[in-house]
Amino acid sequence: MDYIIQGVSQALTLLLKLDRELYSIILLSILVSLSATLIATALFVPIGVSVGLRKFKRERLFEKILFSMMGVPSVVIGLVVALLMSRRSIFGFLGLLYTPGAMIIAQVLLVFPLGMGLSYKLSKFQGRKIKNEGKLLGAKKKDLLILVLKELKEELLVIFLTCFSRAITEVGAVMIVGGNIKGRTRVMTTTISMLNSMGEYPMGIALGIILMLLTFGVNSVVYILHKGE
Amino acid sequence: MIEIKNLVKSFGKRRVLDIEKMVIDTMGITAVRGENGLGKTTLFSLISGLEKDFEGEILKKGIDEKDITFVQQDFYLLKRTVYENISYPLKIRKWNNEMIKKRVDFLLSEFKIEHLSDKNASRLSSGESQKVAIARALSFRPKLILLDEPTSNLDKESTFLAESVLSKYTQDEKAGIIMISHDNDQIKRMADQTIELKDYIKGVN
Repeated sequence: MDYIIQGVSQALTLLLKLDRELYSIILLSILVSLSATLIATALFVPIGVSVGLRKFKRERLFEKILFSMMGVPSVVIGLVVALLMSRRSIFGFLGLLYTPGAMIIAQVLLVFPLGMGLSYKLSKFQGRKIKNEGKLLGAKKKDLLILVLKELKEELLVIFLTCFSRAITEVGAVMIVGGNIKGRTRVMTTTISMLNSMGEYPMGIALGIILMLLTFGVNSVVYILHKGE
Repeated sequence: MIEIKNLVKSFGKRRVLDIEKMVIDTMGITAVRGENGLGKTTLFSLISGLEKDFEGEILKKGIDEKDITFVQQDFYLLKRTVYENISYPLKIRKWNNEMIKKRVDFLLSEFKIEHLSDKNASRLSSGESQKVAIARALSFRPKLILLDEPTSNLDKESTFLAESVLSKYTQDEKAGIIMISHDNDQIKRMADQTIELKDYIKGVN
């Protein structure tokens, strides 16, 4: 029990002393996950919303595939990206493996299906209703998409935050494509995993506290937005 | 006038509406009556142009589709203020702010909801929401308004008020209303003509 109390106390010291290594890990984690979520959002919002607004053949099959993709394990995504980025593979010439770039790509692929599935579902159920109302009030095609996006902006923000939460807490994909290299690709989750196996707890606990605070903060915003609806 | 010929509407393999011939006058107020599940709402979706996938013909004589609106039973109010909801159809028609204000103020006063002008529509009661939905539909002066049980959420006093505003609208704007109602007293008070939908549905009689 003593080592836990000691670990927590040392972790707080690291946090309060603004330990450089600790904060560079935190910053890289946020940068990678935020970039990945922003890129994925720029893709899944227009695609998910516009597909959700349309009725089309094989809708059920499309949904089945999409919803299955939402749960793809992060290690599988990491493995696929690593295979594609390895030197001998088609994207090997880019030299991205074991860089933050590869980690961003892996997280984009991880959160895209999640965001796509959620925004598609949102658009199908609420978006179509808004679109119909807009049509009845005389809105043209261009006005309709703007109307739907404006009306669903809070829900889309919740989806964005959900995706960010998923990205920043995952460990499998960034571990495989980033390699957990000190000072280059070490992020919060990979560091915690490594330090735990080494039995070095203070920094792991400090990162755990930050990760908890971050996810708690994000989830609080999501809760407030839901409550506001 | 709306003339319907050999209209068939199906959802998948299920036929939900089958009308050989029907003519609806688009001046004054027409009430459409019928049991649940007979296809009244589907018929309104087809006339309004919301639903375009059907067999047969729906001829809208003397009325442009852009002059038709439909207040559905499960209407959607924008997550904005009451004023912004009523002004939305006018904004997309590029009315200037002065004209918009005049029109919205007039409708707020007609429905006695001036006090709700700045309130967010998501915070309204169901009765208040229904008044806003009707006021919004009237804002751009459509020539034909389809109403699906327009007073279902209103108390007696508000029902009478809405009925009087709607009747006055048809006279002032030389417009028509086609409404679904299950309230016989309301039909007696408002309608110039009544259509029993079952008389037109194939296989019912």
